[in-house]
Amino acid sequence: MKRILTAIGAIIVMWIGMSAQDTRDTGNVPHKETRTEVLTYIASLPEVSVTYLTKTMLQKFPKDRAESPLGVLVDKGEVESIRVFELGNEEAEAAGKKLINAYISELPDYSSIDPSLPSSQLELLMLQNNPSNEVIMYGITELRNINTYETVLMYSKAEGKKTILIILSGSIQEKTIGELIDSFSR
Amino acid sequence: MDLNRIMFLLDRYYSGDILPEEYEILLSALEAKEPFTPELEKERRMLLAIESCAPIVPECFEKRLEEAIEQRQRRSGKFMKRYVYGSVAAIVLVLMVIGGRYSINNSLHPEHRLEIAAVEGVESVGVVKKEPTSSGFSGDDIEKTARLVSTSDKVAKSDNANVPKNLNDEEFEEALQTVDNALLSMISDIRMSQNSVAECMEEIEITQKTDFNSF
Repeated sequence: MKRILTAIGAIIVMWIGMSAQDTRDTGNVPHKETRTEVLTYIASLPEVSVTYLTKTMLQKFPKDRAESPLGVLVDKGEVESIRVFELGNEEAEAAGKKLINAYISELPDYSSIDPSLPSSQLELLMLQNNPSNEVIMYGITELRNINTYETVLMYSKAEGKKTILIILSGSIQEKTIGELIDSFSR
Repeated sequence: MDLNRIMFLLDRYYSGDILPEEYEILLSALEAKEPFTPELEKERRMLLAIESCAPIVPECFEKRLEEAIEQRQRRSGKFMKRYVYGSVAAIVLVLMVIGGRYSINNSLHPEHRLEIAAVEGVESVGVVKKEPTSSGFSGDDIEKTARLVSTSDKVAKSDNANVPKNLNDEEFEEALQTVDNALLSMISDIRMSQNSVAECMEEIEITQKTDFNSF
């Protein structure tokens, strides 16, 4: 009888221990997805195309195509990498927005460490939401230079076209984005 | 037996020095129907009463007692062994459960590992183009992407070495075209949004009643 009770007690203790190992967040606090998680998720979706040009690839950009938008960016020498996501369905579009949120949420608040630094590196460059098209553009400035973006996030959705998310990384001047838009929007 | 002898034996009995044979002699003397003095009569009645309550020792009692003691000692030894082995087994089981949960929580499906390498880890490498497929991210795509990653990784590691033109020339051109088209599309969408904003602003009517101070 004693042994049976001891065995039952041991099973109960182990069951409590096993359920305590469940570290999944099931509380009221929503789980913040990291960039890696969202990227993994986007990569797994159908109808998603990802193109990634690194600095090495951009350096090999042919000179005869300098008139294209990419050529303009390469010519400036400010962009170090470009990632283009073509999002073919609603799920992918939602994932694209999640990726933007992940970039934003991972920005640290340096002002708590050094009050001379800005509290946020994030700048909203454009936000437009019409029935016919939607454009979201964010710039993440460098830590000590608010006129230069280390990352530019551009999301656009228009009727009859695939939704696009472009992530530019490097040391991009504020005026470069404006010049790019002005040069090719005639 | 004379009274002095009986008294002597009684003294030896109370002092605990009496021998078994002397005790038998004392008992037989007290059981005799001789008249005793009142004090001796009391002693006689007490001893006979004690003798009548003496426990009956079963046969081979001593042997059985020794066997029982040996058995108990053996059982306590077994119990200790069982206790130690049981504790070790329980600890091993708990560690296995904890280790299993830990590895389940942290390990990734092999396909997901490749997916991360394909998308995130590609930061150090060249171009990866993933074609949209209706069937999703199939095993072939994973292998293809992994090959691209490993190939491009070797290239990137060679510190700005020239990319062999025959290796990814076509893919490079395709990627450039895709990015160009995406940028153009983005710029046209931005312009469209700017135009719609401009149109809205043109629709704002300024009348005489417009209070400019409120702006």
